[in-house]
Amino acid sequence: MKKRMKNKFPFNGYLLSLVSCLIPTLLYGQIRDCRCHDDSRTKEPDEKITFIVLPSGEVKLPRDEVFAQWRYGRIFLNSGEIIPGEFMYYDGLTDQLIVDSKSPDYRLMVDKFTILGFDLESLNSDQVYRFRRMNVRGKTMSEFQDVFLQVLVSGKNSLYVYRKMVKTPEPGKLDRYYCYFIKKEDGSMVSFTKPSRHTLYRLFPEKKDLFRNLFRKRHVRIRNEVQLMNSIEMLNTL
Amino acid sequence: MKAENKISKKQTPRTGRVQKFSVTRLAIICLLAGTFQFRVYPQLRPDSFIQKLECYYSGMERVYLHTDRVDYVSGDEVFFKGYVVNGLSFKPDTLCKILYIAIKNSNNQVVKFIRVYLAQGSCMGSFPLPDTLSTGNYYITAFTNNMRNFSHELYFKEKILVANLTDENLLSMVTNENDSSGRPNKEKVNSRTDNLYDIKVLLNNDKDIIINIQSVIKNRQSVPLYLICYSGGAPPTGIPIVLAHDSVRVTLPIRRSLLGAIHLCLLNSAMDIVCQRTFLFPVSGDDISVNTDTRVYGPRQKVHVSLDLSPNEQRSGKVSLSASVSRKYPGQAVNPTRVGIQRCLTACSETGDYDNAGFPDSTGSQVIPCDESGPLSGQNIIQGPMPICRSLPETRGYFISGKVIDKANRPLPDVCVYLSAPDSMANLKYDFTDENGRFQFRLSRFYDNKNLIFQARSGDRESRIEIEDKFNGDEILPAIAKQIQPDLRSYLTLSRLVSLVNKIYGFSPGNLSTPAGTYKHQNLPGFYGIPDETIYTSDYAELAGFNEISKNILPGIHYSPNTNRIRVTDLVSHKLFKDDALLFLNNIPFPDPAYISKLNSREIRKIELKKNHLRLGNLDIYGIVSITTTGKDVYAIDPDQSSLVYPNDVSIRDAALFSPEYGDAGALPPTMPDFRQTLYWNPSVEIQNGKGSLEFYTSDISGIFIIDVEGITQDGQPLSGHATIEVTQ
Repeated sequence: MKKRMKNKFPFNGYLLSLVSCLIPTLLYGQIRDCRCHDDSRTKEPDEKITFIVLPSGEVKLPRDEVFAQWRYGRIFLNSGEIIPGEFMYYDGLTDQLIVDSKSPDYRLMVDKFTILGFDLESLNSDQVYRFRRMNVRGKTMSEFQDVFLQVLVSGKNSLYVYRKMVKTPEPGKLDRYYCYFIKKEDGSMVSFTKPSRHTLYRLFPEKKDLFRNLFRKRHVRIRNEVQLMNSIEMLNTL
Repeated sequence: MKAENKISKKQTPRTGRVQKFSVTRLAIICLLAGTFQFRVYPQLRPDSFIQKLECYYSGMERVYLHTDRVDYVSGDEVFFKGYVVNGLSFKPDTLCKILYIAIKNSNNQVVKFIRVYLAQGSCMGSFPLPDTLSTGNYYITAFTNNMRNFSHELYFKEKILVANLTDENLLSMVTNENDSSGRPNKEKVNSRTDNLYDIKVLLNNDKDIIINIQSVIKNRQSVPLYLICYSGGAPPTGIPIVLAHDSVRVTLPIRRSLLGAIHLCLLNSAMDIVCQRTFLFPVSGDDISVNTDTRVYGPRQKVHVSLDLSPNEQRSGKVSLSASVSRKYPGQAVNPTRVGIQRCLTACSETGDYDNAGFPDSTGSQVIPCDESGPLSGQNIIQGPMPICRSLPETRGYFISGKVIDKANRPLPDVCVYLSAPDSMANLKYDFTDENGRFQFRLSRFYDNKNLIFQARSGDRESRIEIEDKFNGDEILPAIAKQIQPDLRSYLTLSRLVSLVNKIYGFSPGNLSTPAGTYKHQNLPGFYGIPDETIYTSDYAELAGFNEISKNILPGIHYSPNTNRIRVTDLVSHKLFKDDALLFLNNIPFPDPAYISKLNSREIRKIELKKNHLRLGNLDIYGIVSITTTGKDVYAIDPDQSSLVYPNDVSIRDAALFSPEYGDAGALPPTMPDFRQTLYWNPSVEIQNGKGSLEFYTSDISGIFIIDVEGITQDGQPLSGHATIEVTQ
């Protein structure tokens, strides 16, 4: 009899442990009858982006020193909605925004005309590169086009750049074509390709003397993009 | 072999002992672990509970609707200003940006339902009462989508009286000769009482409050409880208490500086709410001093009213005020008959559960208990991610949801529901129904005052789309007695005649309304951008039927009459898509090519083509053919698809109240009657340095008029002020 009891004990122990585990779980499960578990929807309906589905082909990232890599960003839809957390890159060759399709079979290109712009996160800093779709006609553009312009300075006078890549006769080689736009205080848009002091004198003839004195006084030189941004920021403080 | 057997025999009992030991230990550990989670709860949870409760109440919103009057004639314009505040801070920084206003009749049927947009916690506008309203009492209610998660008793509710314009004898109202008060009978909406505990609160010289908790069940043993107490603006405090001898008294110092409401929650040792009450301190009086230059005026005389805020309110920054001057109806008290912004925003409605039984030995002022905030479990709050989830706050647009059901009213899951609205450009939203057949959309202001067209692609021709009623599941308001006092009857008869005269002379505010205009969307939410090709049929010779059109002037479009399919050639691969193109007829999805095939080029104005493989969210679209017909505002809906047209009306009326100025030469001539019963309505009274003024002219109607000023400060202090003037002939 004792032997039979001994043989049964392990089974009883397992049963006991199983029951002891189950009781609180069952009780706990009853308590968790949250009001969230009704038949209603708890998630806000999300806005949807319209993509153009392209065959995958050979994916070549544009040879641009800034935007040549996939990065996270957010997209601003025409409806005013913001879609965050997209993995994407800006293709300077086609002036299109490509979003990660999560499939090797196809690529997803955002329909340019359904969005207002997008922000790209920097890979190694907190900087955010802002791109906005604008209908502009820059130097060497035959007509007005909707292009993505990168916002360099925003203020009274805003500075934008169109970072277009163009193919060269040499196969596989691309050239940079940067066209700068300044949106003046009165809303007019002017464009130029080479940043210089003389360009600014030409674009702001009414403030030419003021600029000249200011640039001389502060020893301002405008030979590259950074110096151009600094000078426009300086002008906005006037 | 024998030796091996010996060893094994020796080892077996030892192993069994180990097993026995480990199993027992395991069982004990499991038991301890199981009970541990219960034991540990009361120690860990109060702080997080307070946080969650804070979150719960901050999600709750309170609404007050200030209307120009409380008695109307059918067809009258109702002027209103809505105030919405956060449930915890009482500041006008609400989550929801949309307010719903409904008028319910005595049978609880919604007779008018409008939606208005909130800006910084307030909205203003007007709406006309339906001409068909029969004479009687009605409820005007207001709520936000977020408030639907809580007790419906928190909705704003006020009784209004409406006389039908053509009801000469006010037949639908029964004369009640016995009741001489003239006031509508007050029904108890909330008669819920807690079975276990009873809480009473007493104010003690404005310094602290005494909370008396009593067990309803007598001779109970000592019960450990946890009392959570918070008032507007102040952080919640939690006190462990022991209920001995069936009752306990707690004294708390409470700052009454902000508002007159205190919320009390009683938790048991398992952290379940066993009793929950909201109490309202008695309103000490008006915060706005309303003074007129004299009390008695003649007809068509100018009235100057000065408003003076008390020093406390002057310090609280920006003030949003609305003012009305309307005729007092028989039996109407100057203030208490109105819901009152203070009472409403803090907790109670007029029809709340008034309990005048105070402390037996009390000497302090009585505190009025208000409605409870609906069923709430402490466990749920602690464990759930958020207790608020039934109705999401409408922070970025209007939520519209519905169901797709089959013939037998069973929900249809995984059905694609299209939503579009007739407009100058194709627009499309879609959602797939969940396991309960439900779909939901968030609409921007682009869809305001447009007919929404829902189409379900279920394949089941008998399927039906139903749009969720925002009042669905609401608590039924008590029926209002159809009784009327003789003096009120004569008042309403006069109101009816006055309204008729005003309509004859064209003085009715509705006729003088200046619509605020529709909201202009800066960026149209077209879903496919710019079409690849746009073809105007008028540029070509006349063609009969879509087959001819597609063959001759639509490059890359293949229409097969036999299979009744329209397909598009891919712009990238130059191959015909295997799947059908998405068809639009007058910018609304129209899945039936058979109907389109009958259209000739004279009936079609333009055809837009999109020749790409598009993806909208997870929906694959193999090219788009969008046809615009020559008929104006014509939209056809495929009869083979279950569809629903739903008017998405938003109140944008901003009618101007007719208010002549008799001081000037161009005023109304004496021969023209001026029977205005609402002398003044201003939803945004300007206050500078704590002072403001109102100016208006009296009408030809004599009687007592009530000046009612209500508002709220930026930091959540409700304000009100009242005065009366008399107009004599």
